Amino acid sequence: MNPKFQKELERRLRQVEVPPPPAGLSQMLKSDIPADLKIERRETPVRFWSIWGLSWQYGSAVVMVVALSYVTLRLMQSTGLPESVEFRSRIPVRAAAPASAPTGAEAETSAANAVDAEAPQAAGDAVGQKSPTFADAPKVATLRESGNAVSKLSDEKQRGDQHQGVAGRIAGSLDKRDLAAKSPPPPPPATFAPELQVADRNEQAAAVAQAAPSPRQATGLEMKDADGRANGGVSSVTASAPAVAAKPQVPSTPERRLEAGRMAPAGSVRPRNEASSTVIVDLFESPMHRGETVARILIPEGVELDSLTSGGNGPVTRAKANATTSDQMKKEVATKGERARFMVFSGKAKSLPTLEFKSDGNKNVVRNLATERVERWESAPLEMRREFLTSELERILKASPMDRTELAKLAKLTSDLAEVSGDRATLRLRNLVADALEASKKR
Amino acid sequence: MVSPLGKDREVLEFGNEERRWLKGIRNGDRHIAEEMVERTYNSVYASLYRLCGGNADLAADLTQDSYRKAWEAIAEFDGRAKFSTWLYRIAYTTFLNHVRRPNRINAFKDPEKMPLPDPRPGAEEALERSQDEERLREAVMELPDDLRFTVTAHFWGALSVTEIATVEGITTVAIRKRLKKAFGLLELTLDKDVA
Repeated sequence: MNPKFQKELERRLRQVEVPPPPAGLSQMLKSDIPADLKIERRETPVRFWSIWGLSWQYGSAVVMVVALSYVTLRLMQSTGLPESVEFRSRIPVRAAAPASAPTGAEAETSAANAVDAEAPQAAGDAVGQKSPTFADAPKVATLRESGNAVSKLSDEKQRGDQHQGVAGRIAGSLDKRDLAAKSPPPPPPATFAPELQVADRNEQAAAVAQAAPSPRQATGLEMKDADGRANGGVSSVTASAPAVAAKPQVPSTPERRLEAGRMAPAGSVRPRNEASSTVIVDLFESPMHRGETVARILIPEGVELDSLTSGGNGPVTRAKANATTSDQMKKEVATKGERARFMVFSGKAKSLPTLEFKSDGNKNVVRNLATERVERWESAPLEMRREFLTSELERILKASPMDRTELAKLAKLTSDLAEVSGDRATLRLRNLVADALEASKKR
Repeated sequence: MVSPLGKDREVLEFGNEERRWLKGIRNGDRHIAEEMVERTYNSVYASLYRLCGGNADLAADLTQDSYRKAWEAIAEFDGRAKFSTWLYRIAYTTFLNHVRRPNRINAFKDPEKMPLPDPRPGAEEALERSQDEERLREAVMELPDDLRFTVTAHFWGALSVTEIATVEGITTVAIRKRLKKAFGLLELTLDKDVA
């Protein structure tokens, strides 16, 4: 717009001459003033109540939203997710039980009982009978990592443990709380693991019990991430597995557990082909964000495993026990003492995998190898973390002996820490380092 | 020449006086109400006279109506804007209500009330100027509502941009934008009329 024109326009707009108002206008306006001028202002109460009304509206809306969210969450929790895996914090409470190993006779009896009963309760009852001490945990971790469980266990433990069956070692990690919480009714024998003959099972259990080297070996089912890095086995998967399950008198390691193979609800019949015993897969820092979990299973010695397939969810590859990378995983038939690496589940998969394997000529099928609970490192209790860290340190100390000076420093530090903390794991740590220092001096 | 300080002092005094009026009126003081009328009715009448296009009688009637409405609504005046601004808003609304009444729409364009040629010397120039003013007034009246109120309040109601912004509940920048836009539309309208 032309500024000159704008100025001209403004001038013309202001220029309008206004004559003085009519003479009587002032008087007329004054006469129109109402007689009763006194006014009581009423805006304040109106505003006050209007503000409160508005607040009530917002407040009620917020309350409704919160209540609906709560109800929805509760409903989702109660119904559960049928196709997906439900992650829940769960760490078995370690039972303070004696660490004495069962005798061979006890193992055989347990195996026989387990075959006869074929009920989860039987295994659950047996869990509480024998439980490891905390002192066993470092050894377990060490043996798990090295893959040579038998040779490195102490002699007295080995003697007792050799009589335990594989299933005992496997199922032993079930704690009382797990089984008490689930407590499915004993299913009819005819519908339970029909492939396995009772006689075979008895023989198998006895044979396995004799051949099995150590109860702790069964806990060497370690999880590794997708890249094959060893994660240490802080979580675990428990799944139904072969009929070699006997009375579980195996120490439960301090690792976190992740249970797979959802137990049948009370009153229902367990699916056919499902084995009665349990396979435990330890998981640690499973890559949940990638929607998959890769687990490593150590096939215990004494188990004739000639095939292992995981249906539905991912490939099964196998490698030697000390394999640490994906390259070392070979698609070969697993043999004794080897580890099988397979996908336990995938978050994107619609169906849960079925784990099939043969042991001692018997076919075992674990259907719906779903993880019911995943325990993450962050949510593990402090005591459990201490146990794990201590066992890891022990493993490191044994695997790579340190310089004496460094060990002396470490001994001093751990001694100070034990004075400050005073908990069991720290004391054990102090003793471990002191022993290592002594051994170093002797050398 | 009035110094800025003196002008500010006047404004301040006027503001204080407005508060005094309001307090007196709310207390039922009739003399203060009459004083307030005496001080404000000239500007109200002037703005209505311009809005009405020089119709003095109509402007006087609308001024009377405006004050009646003001007395009725005086309880709702919250003092956010100046009293004169509030009064102008009432006057403008009263004018619009009058214009929008179907039976009075044609009152502004009544040919009988159009100024007739005066045979005296210089009368032709005065007539031409009067016609220009009327054309400009009509162009202002054809503006959209918000622009029309802004232009008339600023130029005919003698309200400052800040006061208009206060009564409209927007920023002064927005008011200036309105004025600029109004000038653009007025230029178009007047050019079209000339063509």
